Amino acid sequence: MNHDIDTTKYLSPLKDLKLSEEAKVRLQNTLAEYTAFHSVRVDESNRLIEEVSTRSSLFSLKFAAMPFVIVCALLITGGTSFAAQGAVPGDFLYPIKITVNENVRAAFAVSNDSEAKLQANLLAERVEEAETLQFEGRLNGEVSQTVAANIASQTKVATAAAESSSVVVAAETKVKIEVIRNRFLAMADVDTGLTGDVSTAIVASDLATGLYDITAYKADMKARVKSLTNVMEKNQTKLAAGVYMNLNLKLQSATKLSAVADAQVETEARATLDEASALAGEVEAKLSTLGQVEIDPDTGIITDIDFSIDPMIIDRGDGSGNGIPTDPRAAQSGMGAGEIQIDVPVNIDAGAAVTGEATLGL
Amino acid sequence: MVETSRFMNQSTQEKVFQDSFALYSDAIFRFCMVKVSNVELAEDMTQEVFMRYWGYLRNDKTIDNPRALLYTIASNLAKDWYKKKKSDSLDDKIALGYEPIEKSAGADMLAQQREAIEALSELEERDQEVMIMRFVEGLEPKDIAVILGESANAISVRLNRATKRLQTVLHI
Repeated sequence: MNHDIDTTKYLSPLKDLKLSEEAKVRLQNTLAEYTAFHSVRVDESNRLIEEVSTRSSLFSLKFAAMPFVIVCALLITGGTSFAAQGAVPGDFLYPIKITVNENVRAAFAVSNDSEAKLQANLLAERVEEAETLQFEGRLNGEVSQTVAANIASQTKVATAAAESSSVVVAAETKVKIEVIRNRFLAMADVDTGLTGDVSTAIVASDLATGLYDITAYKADMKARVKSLTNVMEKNQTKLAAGVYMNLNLKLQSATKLSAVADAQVETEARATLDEASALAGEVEAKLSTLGQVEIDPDTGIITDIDFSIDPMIIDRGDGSGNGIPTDPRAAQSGMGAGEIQIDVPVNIDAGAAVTGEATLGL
Repeated sequence: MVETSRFMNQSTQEKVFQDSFALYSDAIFRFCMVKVSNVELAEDMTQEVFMRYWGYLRNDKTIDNPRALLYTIASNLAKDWYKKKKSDSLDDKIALGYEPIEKSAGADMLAQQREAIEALSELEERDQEVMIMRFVEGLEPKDIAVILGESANAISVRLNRATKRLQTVLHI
């Protein structure tokens, strides 16, 4: 037993090994946020949060609440879309998740209420993705900017959707959005990649000061669409024809909508602007997957895009590495030429379907 | 512990969570330190352990033995981590930075801690775990048995063997 005493003595310094006070406070804060966000699964009111996938199960489909949608997505796109559900920015399946899966889901969110819930869900998903990236140490450089831009535009879309939903859902959704947004801001506090202009734009966004005043909303919407149109025109030659047409259609609809809103009474105008905002959001989301977008820190509007910097860290496999998509298919899907190509046509269809629906809404 | 869980809500579960953190976060951190030999990694790992632990609590599960569950999660995480870092040698791990834990702790203490961690990392995973629980956390073999899901007898045997191995490593 003498040996035991030696061993005990040898290991006893480890008893004084503790989390530093600083680390303890940090962990406590992070975990408090985490537990608040991933609330206990008890009843329906917790559904929205419950559906957010956790990082430990990236490839599991937590959105089983929409089995029908998933089945449709599968029928249309096959297993790729299924696998893409767990993708994060920088993954080569991520564009599929954004352009196919989520447009399919959007197409099925018919009522204003389900649209609001969906958009808040998508915002939660954007933040989850950011956290996954942070956890994996991949949240840096252009990826941070893409992530922050995505979250900024999704915050707007979700807030707008919440505003046009029924009173109860609107109240619930706004609280959720606020929780999600705080969670992101907390993340931005510790992650320097997310600070700077982009997160300033988010802090300054509508949510921080409550909802848009309708006049400001109209003006902002026009500025946003105008700026996007400029960006598109300037870069027409750099975009693949299919992408340009698709995005341009959306922008044209958004422009028309914001003109229509001018002649409407406030409630109607708001709904119309929300529609326009959703379309602009789709364009912004797409653009930010194609190049590095420059964002006005005060307004959160995209003012320019640099295609020479690829926001997606993808080995394109063609050795060019300059990120300028030369093959229209590669541009559409954001993946390397010669990789999986099956979903590309559907991608365009899905986008067109959504645009068509929005235009019909006129 | 029967079926009370059905009525648990966010605040009761959060309370359970915070209590567990207060009681076991340091122990889990020590456990992780021995596994990864790096303060920053061990802190991250501790955080991840508690996040996964919350995954059980939020599913409205009643946890009979929080400590056992926390150790199990930590042990599984460590296995994943080893798989990922298989290529890294121990030297690489330590080169990542064994930072002073408490700035107030003396240089002697830090050297001893580091030495102890290095010695433990020469042992098999399961042996490491038994040794930490017994000689650092001061748990009885029967408690360790519950945590690791083995018999108390098996734990005693393992402790004996691991002690001998450690002595060999240390040339005591």
